[in-house]
Amino acid sequence: MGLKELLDVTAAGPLPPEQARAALARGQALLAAGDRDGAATALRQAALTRETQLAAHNLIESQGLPGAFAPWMGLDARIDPQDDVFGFFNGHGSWSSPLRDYLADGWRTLSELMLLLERGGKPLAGFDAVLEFASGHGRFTRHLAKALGPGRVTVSDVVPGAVAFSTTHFGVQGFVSAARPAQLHWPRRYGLVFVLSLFTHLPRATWSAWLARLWEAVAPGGVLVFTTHGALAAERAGVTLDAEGFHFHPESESHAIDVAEYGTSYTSRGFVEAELGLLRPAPTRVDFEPAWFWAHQDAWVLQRAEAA
Amino acid sequence: MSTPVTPSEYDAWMRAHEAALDAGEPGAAAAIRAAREVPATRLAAHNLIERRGLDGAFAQMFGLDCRIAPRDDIFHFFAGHPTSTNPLRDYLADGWRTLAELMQLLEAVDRPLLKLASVLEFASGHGRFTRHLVKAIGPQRVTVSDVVADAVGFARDTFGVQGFVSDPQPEAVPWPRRYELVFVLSLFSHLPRHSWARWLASIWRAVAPGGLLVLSTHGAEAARRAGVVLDDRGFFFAASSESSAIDAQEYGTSFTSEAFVREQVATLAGEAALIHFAPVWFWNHQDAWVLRRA
Repeated sequence: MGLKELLDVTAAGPLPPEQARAALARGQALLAAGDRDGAATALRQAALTRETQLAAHNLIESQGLPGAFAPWMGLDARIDPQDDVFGFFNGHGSWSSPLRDYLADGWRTLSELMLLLERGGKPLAGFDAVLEFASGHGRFTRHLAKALGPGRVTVSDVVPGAVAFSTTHFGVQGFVSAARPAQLHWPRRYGLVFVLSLFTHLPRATWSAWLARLWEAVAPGGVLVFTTHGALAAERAGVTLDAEGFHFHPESESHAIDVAEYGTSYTSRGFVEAELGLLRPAPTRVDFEPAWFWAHQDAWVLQRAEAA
Repeated sequence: MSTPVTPSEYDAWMRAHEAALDAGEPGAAAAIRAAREVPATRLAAHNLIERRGLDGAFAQMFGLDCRIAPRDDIFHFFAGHPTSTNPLRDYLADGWRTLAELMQLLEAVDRPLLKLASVLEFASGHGRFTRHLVKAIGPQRVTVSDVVADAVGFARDTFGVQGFVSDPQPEAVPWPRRYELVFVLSLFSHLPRHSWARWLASIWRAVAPGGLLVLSTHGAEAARRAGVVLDDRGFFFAASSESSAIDAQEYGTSFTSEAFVREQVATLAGEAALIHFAPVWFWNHQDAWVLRRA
């Protein structure tokens, strides 16, 4: 079934852009003619070259052609061309297979989240309603939806297309967030609110307000998990925190959001703890795990009282 | 530059390049990184980069020990697989998947991984998953066992776990103690009919009272994908596998119906011992079974 051809084109590596576009067109034509094996080989060639990568990949996935990721990953493996997080994987020098690395990274996030929740005595399986906030185009959402079932998952992001991609492809519920926390109204509260790598991007002006807002979305007895760039990340970046324990520079992997609102930020443990002290109601328990997600971002787990 | 295909050539390659590093030769590290991109020198170069913590090491990004044993058949399975263009990373990343899949099973039966005081990973190979388990719960809670002595030695030396060498005969395995969790991934998917139930019975002895046994099989979906027809007992065996270290007659590829496994469990421990069945679970391919010992 064309396995040798798939192996050969994979081993041959990327094509020049012009040839890659020709391979994509050839794959589309073969598909239209009903030659699925031929289409799979041509599209795999096109998927190895950046210019045609996602068009070819998404066609392989949506048509379930040989070489598709979905059958062995057990989830929807399509990737939105507007996904800036995929663009980050794609631009990273040490990662030679960005499609696979992007998709596999969700297993990492899932295992890291599950371990964190078990440490706090609140296993993931026990949550009926989970909000993934700042969910992007669903790098992780697809894995969460598989683990819990899409009916238990809601996503939210400030980029409307990102929310639409996740609700369409992963079957989850979703709503578009707001640029300013004061503009955002929660449709309900959630047992778990998971906010991966948002506070690593926020400027000082909105950091505290977002935390307070997200805390409001946590149901009684529920949990808020969020991450920060802490001491290790600051050291790696060669960043010096200010007297308050904060640093921000207006630069990120996102093309969709203003860098003054969404750049790269670093926070000391003391800064975050002072912010947590302002939350009402006060968390009944706070767990801190330095360099937890991706062996890089600090993790914070806040538990909310049963009757609050 | 010779190609390190034999253990002595591998060692010689490592020594030569380590000496170049020690001597501070300009470009030595870059040459080793370049050698990691070439299949013949990939593993030797990778292990030298990891051992010396050179720029580009996986350990920093993964947060765990990323050395890979030269005789690890599972790594070589990845390296020869059509979907893997980056086998070092894919091999290492696959452990996140196994960890997430195992944790979900354990949470489903209300026995979260982190609450288990002792875990035996049986048929652990050269530690594709062991390194992730160790990072999750610490090496002191983990014991590994495999019939390949080199694999156990590698896991002990590299990940700091306890380990003991298994035995080709299930009745002869020297279980040192019993464990709250015995995890047996992709062993029963390899066993021939004559030893299948014997292995189940032997491993069951290693499960502590109240403890769990998690194992995987090739079930109906795997049989369908392989185009295999099960016999009237619900069994199929072919004497071939990815292992180069074990006799294929004893360790090939086997397929079992759900009814076959249920019958084996019921005969050994009673129907009630089976507390969870998740078809097409590990790798979206192997069926998962959770047994609880009274």
